[in-house]
Amino acid sequence: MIKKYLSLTAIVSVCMGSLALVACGGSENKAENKAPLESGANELTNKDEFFKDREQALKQIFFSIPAPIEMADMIKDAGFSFDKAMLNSVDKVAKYVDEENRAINLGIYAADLSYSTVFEQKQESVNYLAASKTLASALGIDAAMDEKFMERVQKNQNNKDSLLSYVTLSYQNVNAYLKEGKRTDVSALIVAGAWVETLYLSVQYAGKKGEKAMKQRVAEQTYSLDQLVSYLNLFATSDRVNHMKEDLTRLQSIYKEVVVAKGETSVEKDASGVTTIGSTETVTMSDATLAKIAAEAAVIRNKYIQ
Amino acid sequence: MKAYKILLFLLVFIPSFASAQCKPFTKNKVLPKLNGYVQNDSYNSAQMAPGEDAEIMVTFFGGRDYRLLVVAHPILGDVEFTVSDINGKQIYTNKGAQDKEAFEFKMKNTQQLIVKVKVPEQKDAVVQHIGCISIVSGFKQ
Repeated sequence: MIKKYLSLTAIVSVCMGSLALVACGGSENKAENKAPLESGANELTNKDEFFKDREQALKQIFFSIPAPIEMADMIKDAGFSFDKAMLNSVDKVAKYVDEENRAINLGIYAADLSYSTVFEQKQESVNYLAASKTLASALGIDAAMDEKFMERVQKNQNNKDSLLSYVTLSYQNVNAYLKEGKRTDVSALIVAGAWVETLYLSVQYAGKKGEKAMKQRVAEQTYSLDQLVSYLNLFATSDRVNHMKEDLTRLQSIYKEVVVAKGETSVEKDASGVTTIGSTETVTMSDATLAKIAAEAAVIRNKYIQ
Repeated sequence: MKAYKILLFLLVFIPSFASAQCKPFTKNKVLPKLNGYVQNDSYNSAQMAPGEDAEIMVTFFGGRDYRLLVVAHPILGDVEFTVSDINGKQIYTNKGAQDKEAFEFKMKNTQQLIVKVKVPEQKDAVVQHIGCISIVSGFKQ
């Protein structure tokens, strides 16, 4: 019994020592670098593990395409109004039972949530946030949108700026939990789902007669699509990512009709110090190409929301 | 026996859990620096080591104003970041800038820009440290 107790004590001591090493590293560095080792830094103790497949790991983490909130904002900027009929119904949430569909539809709901919030549809926003939470929980990332978070949303739903920041935070939290939990492929599916839904919503407006601003924005999605397909290529061994990649590759072949005329970048700084970045590069597409993009976006989106 | 298993788990995993967490850093130290700009990306934060570099391609839309943040844990020292176009023409560097973490700009046309981040070496350090770096962009509504 004493022997067992001593062994247990030894393990506890090693554990505490291990923790103290991290913590003590903090105080040591505080003195050396005047930087508190609070959340966000620690000693590099296991170099082999840290640098294993490092290049691939960093590529999987550092990836950016515009979040759905920005495209929703551009739809509003173009003077359009909210149309609930275009969105994927929250009533379908229980139908998404496997991880692939849950992730993609979490992305789709994130786009619908962003769109509803930008257009100040409070009840729709709360509904889409609840549906997103259901899928996040099903994916095992409850903490990304926990009860406290949802309570704060409920409390602040009448404050547009607060609601907007909660929406962007929820999207970030979901991706953060997945990326830090080494489930980057699931995060990739969410981002892809959000992009598909955002494109689907955008083409509904871009296709209206005489509409130019949204048509231009849809053409410019050629950049994001190329980035997204390249990103999905990093997950070549994942079947579920490959399904989405096949769909987007089909869309990419239509996007090849979009004409990108390369140009020069210019940088100007005015007297007040504001930097303006310009370019002579142009992006154009025909109405026929827009129609093809719209049709393919609908096919892909409808396949996943069923 | 159960206690042993729990303790063994703690022993093995606590250090790696600690190393993986940049969420609180991003939430508490980075997002407030958006200064009212609306965040328009997902999550680009990771712990990096001295001497490492990383890059990210970001699409910025024409006719809009942006604030780009590259915020590093102070333990990493003076992290350098640059913004270039896709042909490699440098548009911005934080070297010598008053605010080394933020770059505000207007976009005339939609364009892809490349943000490169370089963590300085810590050659003389007895103990090497890794720290979080977050790359966040926001647009003005």
